[in-house]
Amino acid sequence: MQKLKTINSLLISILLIVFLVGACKISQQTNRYNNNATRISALPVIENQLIKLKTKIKFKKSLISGITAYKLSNDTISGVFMNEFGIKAFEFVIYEDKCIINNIIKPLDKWYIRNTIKSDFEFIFNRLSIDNTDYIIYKSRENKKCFYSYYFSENNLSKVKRFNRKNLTGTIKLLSDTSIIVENCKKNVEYNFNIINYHELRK
Amino acid sequence: MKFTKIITSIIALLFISYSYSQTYVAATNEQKSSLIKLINEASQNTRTLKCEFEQEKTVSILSETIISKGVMYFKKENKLRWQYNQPYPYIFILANGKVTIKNDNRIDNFDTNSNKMFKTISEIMIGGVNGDLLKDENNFKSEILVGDNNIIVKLIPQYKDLAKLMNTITLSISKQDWLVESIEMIETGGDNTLIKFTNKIVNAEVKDDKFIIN
Repeated sequence: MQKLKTINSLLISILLIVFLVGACKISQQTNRYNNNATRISALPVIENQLIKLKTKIKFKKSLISGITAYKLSNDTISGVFMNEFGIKAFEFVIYEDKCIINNIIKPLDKWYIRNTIKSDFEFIFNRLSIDNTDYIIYKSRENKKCFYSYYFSENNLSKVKRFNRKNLTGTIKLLSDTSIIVENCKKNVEYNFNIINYHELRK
Repeated sequence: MKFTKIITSIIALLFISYSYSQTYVAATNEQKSSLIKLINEASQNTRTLKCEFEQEKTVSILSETIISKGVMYFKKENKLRWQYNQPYPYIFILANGKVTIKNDNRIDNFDTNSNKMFKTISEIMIGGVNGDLLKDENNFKSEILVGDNNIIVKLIPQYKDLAKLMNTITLSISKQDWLVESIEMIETGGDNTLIKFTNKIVNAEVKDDKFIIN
């Protein structure tokens, strides 16, 4: 009985220590976040680099494939998705985590397709502001309609989930350094991105 | 010695800039019909065509060019294998009114008549390669410019679906073999795609299995 009590108090102490250390680390993180922010994203977003991704968008049985090319310049991500023949499907501009879809090809120019691409690209290209992942295992980011949860494995981003107020609406899975899969669970759309290459922008 | 090198470089530069800056004059109606005749003859004599291509897509929002490379096989009447090797393998085959696409391990089949996009792509590709676009007066308004080494054919799409996508399609045709050297497509949004054909081999054996994917 005495032994059980000792184990119980030991367990409570361990839990308390874990909780206190955790709280301390979160507090350290918050301070660092305010002082020296860096940003983490599922896809590479690098100032003045042109990044090209092999892209597949699956919806039910149909598949659209092509190349997504984008750049970050003055804190704005601008890019294009086109098919292999160079026919542009749409352009996108993301500034302060808000995405605008421009010059969308006629067959895709429907309000529900625009809205789906817009919210999914906001999710895909969202950049989490932190300066150090050492202590982070979970981080959420809120906007008006949904929030994102970031999951790390061995200090590397491994998964991002998107929720609305009640349900899971999307998942980004980082399969390797060069490959991610994005699922829009609500609309049943799957995006598959593979990094082709990236290089410095022409001056 | 140094002086000779400088002179040689200047001459070379002058030659290069001359060859790029050849002047083009709009063809008269008479010239137009004789040029079309020459292109038709070359097209009729081309049973097969095998070549390499380089596709340069200039995206105005990025101020950058995205390059893809591959090989193309054409066999009369309307068989086409358009194969990208870079930046990744992607095969587009058009044969007997059907389009087959191989992307990674996935193979998709379409009827060209059931898919407007592929119908348009197929028409431009085949028509561009064999010069048929030039003869398609119902769907394209054309202008021919004659240069020293080649002729430029500017095609303005007249049918709605294509006109919404493209302002102009420009074919550059070599005066040597009267085959298409390059196709440039200028989109309504200002972007353009230039496809240059090189290492053309005319009437070499192209087996039918090039147009089948299993």
